[in-house]
Amino acid sequence: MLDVRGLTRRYGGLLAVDNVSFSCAPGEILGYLGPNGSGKSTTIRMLVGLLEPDNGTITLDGSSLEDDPIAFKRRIGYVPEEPQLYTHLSAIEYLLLVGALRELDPNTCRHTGERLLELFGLHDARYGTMATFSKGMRQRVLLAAALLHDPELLILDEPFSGLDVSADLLFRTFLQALAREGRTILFSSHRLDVVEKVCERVVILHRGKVVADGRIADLRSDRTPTLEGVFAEVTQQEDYSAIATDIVNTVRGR
Amino acid sequence: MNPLRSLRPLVRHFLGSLIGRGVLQDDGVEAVRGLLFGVVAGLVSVGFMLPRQFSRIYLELGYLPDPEPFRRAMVTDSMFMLTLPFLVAMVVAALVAPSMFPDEVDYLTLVPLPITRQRIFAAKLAALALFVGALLLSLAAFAAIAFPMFTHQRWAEGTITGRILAHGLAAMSSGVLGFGCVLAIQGLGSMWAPRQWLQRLGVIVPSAVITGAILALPFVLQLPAQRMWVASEPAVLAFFPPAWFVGMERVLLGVANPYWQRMAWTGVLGTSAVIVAGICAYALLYRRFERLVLPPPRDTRTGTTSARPPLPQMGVWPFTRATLWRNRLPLLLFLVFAAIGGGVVTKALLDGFLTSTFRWDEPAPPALLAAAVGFPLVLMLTGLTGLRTSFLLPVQSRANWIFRVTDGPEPRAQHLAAVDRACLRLVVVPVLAIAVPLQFWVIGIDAWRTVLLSALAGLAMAEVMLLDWRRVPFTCTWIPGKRPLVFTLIGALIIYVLVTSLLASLFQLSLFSWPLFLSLSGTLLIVTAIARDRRQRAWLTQPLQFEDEPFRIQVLGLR
Repeated sequence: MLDVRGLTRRYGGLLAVDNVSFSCAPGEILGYLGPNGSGKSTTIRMLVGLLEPDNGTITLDGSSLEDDPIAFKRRIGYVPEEPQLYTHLSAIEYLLLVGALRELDPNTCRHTGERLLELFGLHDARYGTMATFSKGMRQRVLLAAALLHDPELLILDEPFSGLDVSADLLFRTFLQALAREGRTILFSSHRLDVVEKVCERVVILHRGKVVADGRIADLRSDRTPTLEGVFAEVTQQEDYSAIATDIVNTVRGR
Repeated sequence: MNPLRSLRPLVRHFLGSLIGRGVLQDDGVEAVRGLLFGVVAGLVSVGFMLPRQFSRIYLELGYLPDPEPFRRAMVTDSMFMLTLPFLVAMVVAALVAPSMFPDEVDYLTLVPLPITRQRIFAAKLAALALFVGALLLSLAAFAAIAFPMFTHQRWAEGTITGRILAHGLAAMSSGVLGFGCVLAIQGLGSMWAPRQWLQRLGVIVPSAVITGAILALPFVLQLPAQRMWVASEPAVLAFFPPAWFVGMERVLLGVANPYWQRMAWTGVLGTSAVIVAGICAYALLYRRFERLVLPPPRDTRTGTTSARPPLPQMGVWPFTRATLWRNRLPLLLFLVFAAIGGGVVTKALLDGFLTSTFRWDEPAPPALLAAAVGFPLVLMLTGLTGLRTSFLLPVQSRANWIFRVTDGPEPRAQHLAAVDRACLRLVVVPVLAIAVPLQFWVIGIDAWRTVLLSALAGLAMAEVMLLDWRRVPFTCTWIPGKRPLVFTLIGALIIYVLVTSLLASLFQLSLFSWPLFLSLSGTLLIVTAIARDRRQRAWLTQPLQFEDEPFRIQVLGLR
């Protein structure tokens, strides 16, 4: 069980994450939503140990990130928002590097890495440097790297950006299968349609605070029958049809 | 629409990319740019001393009753002056090599715009021509005006105007040949190299050219002293391109004998050949643009097998090695430092062999002995400094998150041990591999002592250089210019003198003294052990460094 309590982080005078608390049970896929600048990525960076929180605790099955960051980080897999990887390495070299950094058995790592690349449709491209890879291909390598050590908690920050339709479908099905195996999955995305299909529960962040936390079915109401409607309501989104009309008018010179 | 008007912004864009991209596009560019400016400023200030030096020498030679010494000096100094634009043009061409031809970025950004491919190529060629023209004109103008003016005494051949024109034209041609060689190699190489080699070619060609230019420097600086040898008109000079342009200068002045006429013709043919090769490369690239810049469609179906050989294990050491060999800037920095050491030791060894008679069954002459004993120290010092400097450069620093999320005392020790391994495998062991046969050949069986001392010195140097090192190579940001360049240079000079003179002399003396040998070995072992112990203890407590720390300003506490 991932448990986040009172997480707070400031950047100078800006309160990026303000007393955020939520939990995620094994076998659950938790959607972590929010508009740009709401504090999603900051929370995720704190969860994977890239940033230190000013306040608050992060625990996984009672083990605190603060107390033993190494043990905590061994149990998580992470796919960052931007496909940041060493593009002068080949896909298989990158997986072997990640395996070595996670102290996995080289032979097992190699076998798992090759198999994952094959399943993700990158088998023939595995020896070429990733400099020529598309965003979707890099994203698939990052997913493979995050799964290499069979993590208990998988943290995905916009994992589907750049993926084609078939890969998108494959990953959605795969995440659900992984959750059925008892893995905990934190899924941050702007793609509300995907979140609605994959997750049962969502946490919505706005201006650093949790503004909604619950099962999607419970959050829906007669007035807001879709997740999109719920999201727009709790994050006080503007009237996009008026803005869209303004854009068209500007383009047309009216 | 006026075609020239629409071409102008494109030419300006390409001109900017020639200067701003190339080698200097990678991470850490600011740091290297600062270093380059410092080095160029140093070279320019040294360059201002050359005319004064020439003026003094030629004034004295002008008073001699015999014109021959004056004319011999004129030929060798002219060759020296014509070598400089050749080398500078080669180095600059190597720096801008990745931007010489339209590339994938140009293709992806410009082809979708309403611009024809002819226009893209015409603009790129025009930008390159403007860049080369400006570079060569500035190089030739300095050489053409300064050299004839400061050497124009009574035994000079030709009028001052004639000499300025002849030297200027020869310097321009020398620069064209230097630039054209790199252009042709890069262009034709890109054309015929397999696709998977294209990226590596962009790393290898500039690195090899710049390393070669630095290695050549000690010999070029030696040129003015070789007056008698050049005056003997040796056949081997036909393989030294700047000599061709001395021939060209003498033909233009009307004072060339058949030897220099042959040289001039070789120069004309060589320069024409590289110009033709460059144009051919452009024409071929124009025809095969898409094939070269766009990756072939990938077969992403699963289940196919590959015939590629098995990969080695991956970890921080293989990551370090792969990053060094596959990225221009780190490799270039490492090779530049190594080449400086290589140039110095090669010159010292050649001087040792040339200035004395060496027989393997007799004691080595002092100059040769000093060169043989000192050369591993120089190579290790420059190689380790180069390696450390290149490790400081960030490569795709935003990808370092994988090292951040996996940091901990145990993996940290392995990561940092991989840096030791890099120092050993890339510098200490290769240098010793060259030192062993050479020292045994020059010194005899007693060379085991200097070899052992060199190995210990290499280990000690590596340990001392890595004393406060807490980084996985290439993963930490770098704040350049934390210390003034002058302090860095003075510090480097002191260390260089200490290591190469004092330590080398002690090693030499240890050949004749057991107590000195034992005490030197013991001292080096103790230094290595203390430094290593201190480092290993720090690994357990201090986390890896991913952000460079700014220079701490010392507070004087004045009120």
